[in-house]
Amino acid sequence: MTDRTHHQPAKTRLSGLDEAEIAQLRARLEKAVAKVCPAWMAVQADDLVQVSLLRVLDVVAKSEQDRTFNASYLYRVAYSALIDELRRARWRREVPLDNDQAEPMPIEEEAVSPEQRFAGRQLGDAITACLNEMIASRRRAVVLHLHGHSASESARLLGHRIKQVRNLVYRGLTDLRSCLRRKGLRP
Amino acid sequence: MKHPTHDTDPLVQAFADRRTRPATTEPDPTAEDVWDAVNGDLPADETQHLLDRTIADPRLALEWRLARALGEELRADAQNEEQVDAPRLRGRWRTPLLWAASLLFAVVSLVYVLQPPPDSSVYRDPGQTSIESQLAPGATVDRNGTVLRWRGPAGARFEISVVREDDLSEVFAARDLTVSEVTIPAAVLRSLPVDLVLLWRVEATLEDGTQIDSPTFRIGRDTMQ
Repeated sequence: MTDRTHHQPAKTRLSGLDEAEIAQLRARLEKAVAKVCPAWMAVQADDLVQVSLLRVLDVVAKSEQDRTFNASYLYRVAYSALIDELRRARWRREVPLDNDQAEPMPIEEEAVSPEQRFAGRQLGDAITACLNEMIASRRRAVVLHLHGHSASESARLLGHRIKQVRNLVYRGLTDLRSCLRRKGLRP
Repeated sequence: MKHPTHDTDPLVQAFADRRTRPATTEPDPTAEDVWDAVNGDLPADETQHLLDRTIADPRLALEWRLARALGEELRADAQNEEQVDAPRLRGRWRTPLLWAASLLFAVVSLVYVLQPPPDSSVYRDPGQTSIESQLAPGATVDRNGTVLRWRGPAGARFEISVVREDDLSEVFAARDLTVSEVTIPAAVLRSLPVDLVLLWRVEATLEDGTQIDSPTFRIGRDTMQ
């Protein structure tokens, strides 16, 4: 899907993308959302994917007929649509973020006891506090690690060598764990 | 939709599960900026600023992870394309290229075989040599219990952390040690995959409160049979 000019299958009339490409994009979107969406967002994940996909198809359909799209552009559009929808849902208070707001939680959340929820919140707050105490170079490397970036991805984003990033992550995680222990927490 | 797979590292999971509302008046960045930052297309200072904001703002952190996950899918797509294109390599260039690849492989293999064995310590920081591993070079992990030994400042209290090399999740830790050795219990080691590499590091706290970090030491792989 990197270059539409390399493909000659039948295109759907509405979108300019063939059905296999649409199915593949949908599968990729579903996988990405499923990978990162927390339990409280799971009930909305299908809607998010659907809206995002429709936005992509709309952009392609409104473009000039002979225009080609590379995958990078389509994914960027899809991501933008996902975030717009996510933020809209947040504004509508359909996705409560504060535990203090006594709004109904999705089904998955009900399996978590109030004690577990409190402990999770306490740990989350402590992680945030500990990260803020850390020296910047270690903090950024650790945050990228916690976001799931590999050492090579982090190296590219931070402008460091891979070995340097591994060192920063390792030392930063040690700092983080020590800090949490000092607060009486052990994840 | 399938429920998300939870990460094996509790720290990663706890970080992802944060739901505190951020105390910021800064407007949300555009989705495009987040996408570009995660994919390395934003200037470094702007990327770092956004990254820092994800610490205090779990909502932005979620958007960052979403961009990363989707970027990963994009790269997987591109890889599939390359694999589809690979069989197109035909004609008179195919045989010479295969020969060239074989020759390159042979040269690289020879260089690899001839090079001296790697140091057992990785990520060594030459500026911090006050704590040294006392394990013999090539020391092995005994799955019935492994003793880690080091030499450090006299009178110090030590804290040790042992993590998996693959995801850096912690498998063992001990603190307030007054002796320069610790045993990783058999129960811990037996619960780990056989081919796993472990990293370990010691932090010493002197009587005056000064802290000294050791280099990072490495142990494992073929030694964990």
